[in-house]
Amino acid sequence: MDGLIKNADTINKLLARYGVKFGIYKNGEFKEQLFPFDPIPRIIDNKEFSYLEKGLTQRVKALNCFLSDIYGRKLIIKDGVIPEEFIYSAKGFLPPCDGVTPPKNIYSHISGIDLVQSKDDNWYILEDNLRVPSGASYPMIARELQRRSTPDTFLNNSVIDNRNYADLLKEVMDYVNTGGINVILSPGRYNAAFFEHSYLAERTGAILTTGSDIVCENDNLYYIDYNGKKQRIGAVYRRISDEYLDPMTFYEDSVIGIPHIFEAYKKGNVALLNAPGNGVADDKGIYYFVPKMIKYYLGEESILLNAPTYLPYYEQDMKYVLSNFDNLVIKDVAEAGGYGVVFGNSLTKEKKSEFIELLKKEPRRFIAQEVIDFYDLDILDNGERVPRKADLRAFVLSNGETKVWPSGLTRFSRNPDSFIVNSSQGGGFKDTWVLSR
Amino acid sequence: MGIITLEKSDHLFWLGRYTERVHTTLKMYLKSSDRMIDSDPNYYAEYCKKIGITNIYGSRENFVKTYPFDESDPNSIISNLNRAYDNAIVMRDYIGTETMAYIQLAIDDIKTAERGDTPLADLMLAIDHILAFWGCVNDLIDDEQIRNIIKLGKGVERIDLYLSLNRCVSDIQKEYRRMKQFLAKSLMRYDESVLYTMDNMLSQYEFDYMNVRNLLRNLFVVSQ
Amino acid sequence: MFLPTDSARQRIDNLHTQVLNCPKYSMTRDNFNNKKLYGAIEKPHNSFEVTICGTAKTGLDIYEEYTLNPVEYSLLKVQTPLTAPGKKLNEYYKNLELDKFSGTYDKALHIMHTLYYTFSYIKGATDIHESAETALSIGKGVCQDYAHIMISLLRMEKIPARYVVGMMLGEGASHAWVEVLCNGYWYGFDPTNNKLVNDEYIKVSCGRDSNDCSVIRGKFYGIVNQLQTESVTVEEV
Repeated sequence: MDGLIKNADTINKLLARYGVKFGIYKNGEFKEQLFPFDPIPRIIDNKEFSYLEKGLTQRVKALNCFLSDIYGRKLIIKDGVIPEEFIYSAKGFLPPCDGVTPPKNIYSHISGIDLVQSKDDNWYILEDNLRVPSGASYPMIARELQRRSTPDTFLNNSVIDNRNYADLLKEVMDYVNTGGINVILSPGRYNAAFFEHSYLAERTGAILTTGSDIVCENDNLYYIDYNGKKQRIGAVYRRISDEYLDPMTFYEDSVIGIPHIFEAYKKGNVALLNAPGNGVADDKGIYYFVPKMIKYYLGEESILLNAPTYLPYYEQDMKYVLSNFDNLVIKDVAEAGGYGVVFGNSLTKEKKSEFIELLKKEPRRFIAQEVIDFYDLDILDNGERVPRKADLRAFVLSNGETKVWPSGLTRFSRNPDSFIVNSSQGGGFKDTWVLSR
Repeated sequence: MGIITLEKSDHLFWLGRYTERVHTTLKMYLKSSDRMIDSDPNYYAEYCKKIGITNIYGSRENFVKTYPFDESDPNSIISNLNRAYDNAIVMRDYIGTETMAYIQLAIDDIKTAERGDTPLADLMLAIDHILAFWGCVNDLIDDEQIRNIIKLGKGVERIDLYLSLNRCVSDIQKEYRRMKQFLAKSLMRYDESVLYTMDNMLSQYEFDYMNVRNLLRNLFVVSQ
Repeated sequence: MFLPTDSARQRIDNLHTQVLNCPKYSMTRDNFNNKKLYGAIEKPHNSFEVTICGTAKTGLDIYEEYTLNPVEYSLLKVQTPLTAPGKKLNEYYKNLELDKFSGTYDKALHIMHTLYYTFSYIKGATDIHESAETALSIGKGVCQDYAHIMISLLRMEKIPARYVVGMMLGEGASHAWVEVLCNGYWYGFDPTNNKLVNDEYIKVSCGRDSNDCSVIRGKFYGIVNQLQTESVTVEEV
């Protein structure tokens, strides 16, 4: 580990060399930034990982069952486990997906589950990301470069190799592929995660495309080469969001989508990873119900804990939220990427009453959570070790069986007072070691 | 890979062109700054005229100081290298992270040279990395077509620059023969009648450079 | 674009579809069971034309049977951005005093009557993206606005309601009205004309709001001026 710390600059230089960047818009201008890498890894021993693995597998299985149910028979609503308002007023519930079964009945192929560890050593689920979770490429390439710069570290520690992520991803694409090539659909190089799109394309052998060279004909998707020859596409790992996917079905003004791709999907002629409509399951309001889903679909108790959550929608919870406002963190269910998060105690008196007004007016729009006392991780700040808030995004892949990638993206906040670790807000990342013993 | 779309072939072609432009202009820049030391202090003006860029430099000092480095000048060397990068970054899955890295490194070299005490000497590192890029293209890109489209771009750019810099007939004939090999193997669409005219012209001992440049420009204008 | 289909209320015969300039098109059903015709032209073109003709036997029944799975109608109780009420609609809703009526049908009838007499039909007062709330504050609009406002009010009362696009005898353009779920049947109300939907109406499509059932939807790539025209002819046979 000392070796890693000593060679931190070398690794950061190598990351720059290979273009490990993310894009960010500042004052309306696109800029590429290096994703700051911290050399001190998060270490998860084998026993702990087995526990996480069980819990994550269970959770993702239940979420897939939920999606299949919601866009199918809707038993969970009929049985009164989840109030119908929570489904139908969720922004992520897409009526066009109703009654559509994706290839092999898998909805969330690549799930990014965000967790934090608390001071009492418990892991809590922060949120599920079932639409287009990003970030696996960073620890993947960082590991490659660390092994090059400090091979001894990996000789002396039994760290499970995490560079197989691309193989896992390819297996998933191949499994649901309906006959044809695999492509990765990116909004283009000015997307924040473009590095990841291009790197995963290189590593999985899928073709990177922005959609301009794809046509939909007779309900099949084709990729057109420069002589006009067409090749059928069997699976699209799309990194654009649902609303932009197909201007003929969703957001009509989308210029990055592929017209009629949804019809091809609906007729079973192409697999979309992840399936459109998944937003209903990773909605912050639905999060509250995930342990109930696990019980309902799998007949099991949830292994991993949710952060204690209140729904102002329920009168009782609203009362609790109002009387404990200062101790809670309130999240807007429609926002993501660290936006729309408010800490009760951080508001001025004026702002607070303004906010409470809004909360009372639109209770369904918010959830409130107890602030978890994070177990901080050390980072290196100008050569010194200092504690910072960090979370872990675990990647769970589903292709018939559900697998947890033995690594993950550990993001940290560089600001000592901040809880927000998102790269778009200046956070950095660490490697995540899962030990084989 | 096997499938290259029109858009992707375009990126590969221009990646080749811009990288070559940077390579040749970097070498020209080093040469011209040498020439301006004693024999011909205003040579930069002639240089600008030759390669067809606006002379916004005003003085020898300013030319030496800004031509390679100024990102706000669209004709600067770094601007052309940024364009090469723009074409490379969208082709990572075709050319590979390892190959792409050398374009990134060349950019870093030019930026380091700008800040350093010996900019001219430091710029040589950028040339090294561009050569390493071409080495990777040859060595790491297995797909013949991809390789040949990039090299076709390089060939076309080199002929164009050599013509504008008034290089000797035999140099141009040699580059033309090389470019034609890449053209055939790239499977790119081109105007056969233009190529035929160029063949005839370039087989002479003397030919009008302007005419050849115009023909070259029209070589890839193919009606759909 | 959407095509009319058979239902308890209407039967469609001799449906002819003629698509000029577009060799490849297909048919599908959306989640509201609307029948949709779609296709794409890849080559540059100067015009594109679709003609649909056929005969409709209407007025077979006064309602449409409820065919969806029971929890699915809940979707039609949820407001959409176009129907979401604001201050104006809330006020209007309160003044309706709907608790005075016991049945869903009577409530819908009351809303229709009231809206007809308090809202004015003026072409061009609103545009096609206008929400119910804005239209109501302007106080005037077209059939789309009547329908959105009525739907919004019904949903505030937790009554499932859907937006319907169709054609009406004697009108030269498509028309919009509302269907309300009462006792397991969908009844049609036309607030623009203060009329119950009868044999003068041919239904084409339905959905949560106008966005779900705009007769024609398309995407066009290129930078030229374009012009779209639509004409509807309904004659008695």
